Amino acid sequence: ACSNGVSTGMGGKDSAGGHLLTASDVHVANYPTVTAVDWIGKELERQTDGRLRLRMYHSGQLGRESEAIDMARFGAIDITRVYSGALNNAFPLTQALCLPYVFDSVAHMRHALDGGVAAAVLRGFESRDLIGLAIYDSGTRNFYNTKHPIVEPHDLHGLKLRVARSDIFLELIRMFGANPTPMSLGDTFSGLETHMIDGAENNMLSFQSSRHYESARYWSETEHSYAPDILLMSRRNFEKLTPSDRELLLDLGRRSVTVMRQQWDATEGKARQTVLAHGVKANAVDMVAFRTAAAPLLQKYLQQPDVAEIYRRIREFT
Amino acid sequence: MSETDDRTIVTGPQRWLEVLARIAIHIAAFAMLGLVAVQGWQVFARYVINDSPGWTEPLTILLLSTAMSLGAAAAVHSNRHFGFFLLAGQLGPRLKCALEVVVEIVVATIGAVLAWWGWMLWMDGVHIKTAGADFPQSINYLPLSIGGALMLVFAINRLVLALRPTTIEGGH
Amino acid sequence: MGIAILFIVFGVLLVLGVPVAFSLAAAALATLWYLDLPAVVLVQQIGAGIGTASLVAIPLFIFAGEIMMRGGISERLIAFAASLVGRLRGGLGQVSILSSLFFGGVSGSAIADVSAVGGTMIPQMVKRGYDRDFAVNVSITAALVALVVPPSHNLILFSAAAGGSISITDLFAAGILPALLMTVVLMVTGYCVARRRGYGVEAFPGFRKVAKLLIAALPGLGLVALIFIGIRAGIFTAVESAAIAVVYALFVTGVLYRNFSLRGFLDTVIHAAQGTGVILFVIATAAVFGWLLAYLEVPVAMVNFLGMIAHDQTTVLLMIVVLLLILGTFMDLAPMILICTPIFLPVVKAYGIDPVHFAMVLVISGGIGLVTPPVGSVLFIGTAIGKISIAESMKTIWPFWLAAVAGLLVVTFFPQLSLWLPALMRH
Ligand code: NA
Ligand code: NA
Repeated sequence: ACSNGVSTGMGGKDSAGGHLLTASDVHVANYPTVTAVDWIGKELERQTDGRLRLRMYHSGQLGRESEAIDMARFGAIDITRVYSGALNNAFPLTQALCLPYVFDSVAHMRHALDGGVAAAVLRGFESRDLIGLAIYDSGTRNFYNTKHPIVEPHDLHGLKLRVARSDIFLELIRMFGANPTPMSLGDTFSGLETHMIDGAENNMLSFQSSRHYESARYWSETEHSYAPDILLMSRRNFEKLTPSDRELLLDLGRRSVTVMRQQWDATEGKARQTVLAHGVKANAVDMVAFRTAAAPLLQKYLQQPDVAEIYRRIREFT
Repeated sequence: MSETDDRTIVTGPQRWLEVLARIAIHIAAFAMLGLVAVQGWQVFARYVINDSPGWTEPLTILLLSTAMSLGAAAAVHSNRHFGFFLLAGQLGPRLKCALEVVVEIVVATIGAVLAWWGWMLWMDGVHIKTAGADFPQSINYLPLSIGGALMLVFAINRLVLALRPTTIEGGH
Repeated sequence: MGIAILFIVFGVLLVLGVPVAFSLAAAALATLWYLDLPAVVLVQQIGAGIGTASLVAIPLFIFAGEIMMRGGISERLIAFAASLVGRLRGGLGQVSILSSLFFGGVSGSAIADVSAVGGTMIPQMVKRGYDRDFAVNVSITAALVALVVPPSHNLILFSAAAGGSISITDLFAAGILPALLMTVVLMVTGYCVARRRGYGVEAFPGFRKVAKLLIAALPGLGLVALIFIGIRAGIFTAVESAAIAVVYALFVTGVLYRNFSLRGFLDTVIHAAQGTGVILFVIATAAVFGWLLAYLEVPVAMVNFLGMIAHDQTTVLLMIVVLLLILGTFMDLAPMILICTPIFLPVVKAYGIDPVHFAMVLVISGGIGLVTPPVGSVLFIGTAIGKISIAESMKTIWPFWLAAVAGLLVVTFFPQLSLWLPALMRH
C-alpha cells in the first residue's frame, strides 16, 4: 500500500514528487512550538534530500485544536500540536500532566519528562490512532486579575475567572472558591475591560501576547498547573512511511524538544520583561496553602490506576 | 429563497414525509427556545448567583447543531434553501426536469455523507465525556447525522416526484 | 488544480440551481476526493463550522427580529420614523431608510430588516402611488444600514471567522458611525431620486403626535440602549445580548403591547427556526470551503499576488474592495465573510490595516453584494415583497447602488470613522 510515486493521501499532491507532510498549530508563526516543528521540517528535508517535506499551517489556519486532533486521527492532516488540557478526557494519561501541583518546578518537569514519563504518556496515544512525537513544556500556569494580588487560595474567593474548557481547571477553580466563567479568548480582553470577569489563568507567554496584562495588573505565581503541549502524528499516515522514515521522524520529534525549550526560555523571559515594564505586579504565593487546597482534586483523579502510575513516576524525580 | 411548492399530492407516503418534516422543524424550534434559555441562564448565573455552570457552552453548541441540522433538513423538504434559480426559469420542461434531477442527486449525496460520517463520528466519541458537561464529546454529530438522513429521504422523495410524469403542465 | 476544482464545481452547481449550501459542500467533497483526503473531513468541518458558541447570536437575532416584526415593534418604529422624516421629498422612502437604522439597531441582520421594514413599507409605498421599483430599491439598499449598526450578527460571524481573537464589543462600537454615514448617504440619494420622479411629501403630524409616536416606539428603541449599557457595564457579552434581545422583545410585545398570542408566538418560533436552519447550514458548509482554501494555501497566494502589484495601504484596500464587490455579486454575505476573512486578514495585517476597520469594509462590500444580482438574499426577498422581477429592480437601482459604493469608499479610506469610537469607549 505504501507506494513511492504520487502521494497517497499525505498532505495532498506534491508537485516535486516527494511526500508532503502537513502540520497544524493554533499559535502564530514565531511561537516556540511552531519554530520547533519548522525545525523538524527543515531537518526532514535535509536528511531525505527533499523526499520528505513538511508544510506548517500556523495561526489556526486549519481550525481549532479539538478538531485538529480528530483530523489527524482520520488522516486529514499529519502532524498537530495540541495543548494537553484538550486531550484529558480522550487520553486520561495526559491528566497526570495537567493536575495541580504534580511538578515542583520547570526543572523537575523537564527531568521527569526526559526520564521516561514523556515516552510513557506518548505511547498512550496509539489506542486512538495517534503517534505521540514529543511533549513540549510551556511553563507554568498562573492566575492574573484586575483586582488584587492573590496570595492565599482564599483571595480567589468570588472572583469571576475565564477558564479554558477543561474538567480539571473547572473543578480546580471551583474548589478555590472562584467562579469559572466560560468565554471565548477574543471576548476575554473586553470582558476584563468591562469588568464582566475579574481575571483568567494562563502561562506568561499567552498573558503577554493576548494583551490581557493591559487590564489585569496582578500576576500571582500560583503555578497551579504545567499543562504542557503535545506533538501528535496521524497513525494512519505514519504507517504509510517506510520504517526508516518512521525512525527518522520519531528521532526528530524527540530532538525538537531541545529546540522548543531554548526558544521557550528566551521568549518567556522577554514576555516577562514586557509585562513588568508595563507596570504589572508579580507576586509569590503561599505555595503550601495552595497545595493543600488543591490536594483533594489531585486525590480524586489519582484513583485511576494508570494516572496514578504516571504520577508516581513523576514524583520519583523530585 | 425560492417559490413555494405547489405539488400537494397527499397520498400515503407524502403525508408521512410531511409529518416527518413537521417533527424536524418543531425540534429545531424547540432547540432555538433552548438557546434563549441557556444563554439567559448563563447571564443570570454569572451576574446574580456568581456561579457559572460549565455546561452552558457545550449545551449551546449541541442546540446550535440541532437547530441547524433539523432546520436545514426540513428546508430540503419545503425547498427553502438559498439558491440561484435563474437558469431553470429559462428552460423547457424536459431540461428543467433534468436539472431538478441533478439538484436532488447532489442534495441526496450530501445528506448521505452527513448521515454516514456523522454517525461514525458520533459513535467514535460516544464513550468520551466532554469537558464541562455530562454528555459524550461527539454528541454534536448526532443531530448532524439525523439531519443528513432526513435530507437524503426528502431529496429522494423530490427526485421521485420530479421524475413522475405530471398530467397537467403549465396550468398557470 | 485543487483550487480550480473547488471553484468550478461550486460555480457549475450554483448555476444548475443547486442551493448555495449544497454547492459549497459538494465542491468541497469533490476537492477532498481529488486531494485524497478522507470524506469525513467534510462532516468534521461542518461540525466545526457551528462549533463556536458565539454563533448562537445568529439564530437569536433572527428570532428577535421575527418577534419584533410580528409583535408590533417594527410597526411603531416605522410610525415614529415616518413622523420624523415623512416631510422630506419621497417621504415614505426616507421613512424606510430611517426605520432600517432603528430596526437594524435591534435585529442585527439585513434579512430580518428587509423582511420587517420592507415587508411593511413596500406595500404602503405602492398603495400611495410610488413606483414599485423605487419602493423595492430604497428598501433593499436601506437594509445595508442594518448590517453595520450594532448589534450585527455579521460582525460576530467575522470575529468567529478570524479565530475569535477580535473583540466583538470593539466591532459593535466600530459600526455606529459607518451606519449613520450610510443612512445619510442613502437619504440624500432617496431625496434626489424622489425629486426627479416628482414624489410628494407626507404631512407633518405635529409635535404632539411625534411625541406620542416616540413614546410608543420607545420600548423598541430602548433595546439599543439596553444592549449597549449591558455590554459596557459587563453584565452580558455581545453574544449574550442576542438572548437578551429575544427576552426583551417578548416582554415588550407580550406584556407592554399585548398583541402577541400564544399561537402567534409559536408560529414565530417555527418561522424563525426555518430561517435559522437555512442560514446556519450555509455558514457550516462555507466553513468547509474555507478550510480547503486555507489547506490549498489560497491566503498565502493572495498575499503574494497583492504584494506584487500593490505597495501601499491605499492600493491594497482599493483592490480588496474591488475583489469583494465582484465576489459579492455571486456570493451571499455569510459565506463571503467566512471565506474571505481567513484569506484577506493576513493581507490586511501585513499592510498594517486594523482588523476592526477591515471588518467594516468587508461587511459593507459583502452587504452591497446582497442587493447585486445574480445571488443576493436581500434582493430576492425585496423583489418578492414588491412583486417585481430582479431585472425591473436592476434597471433603476443604480443611484442607490452608487451611493452605497460611495459610502463604502469613505469607510474604506477613512479608518478613523470605524476606529474612533471603539478607542473612545475603551477609555
Ligand atoms: Na444591526
Ligand atoms: Na450578490
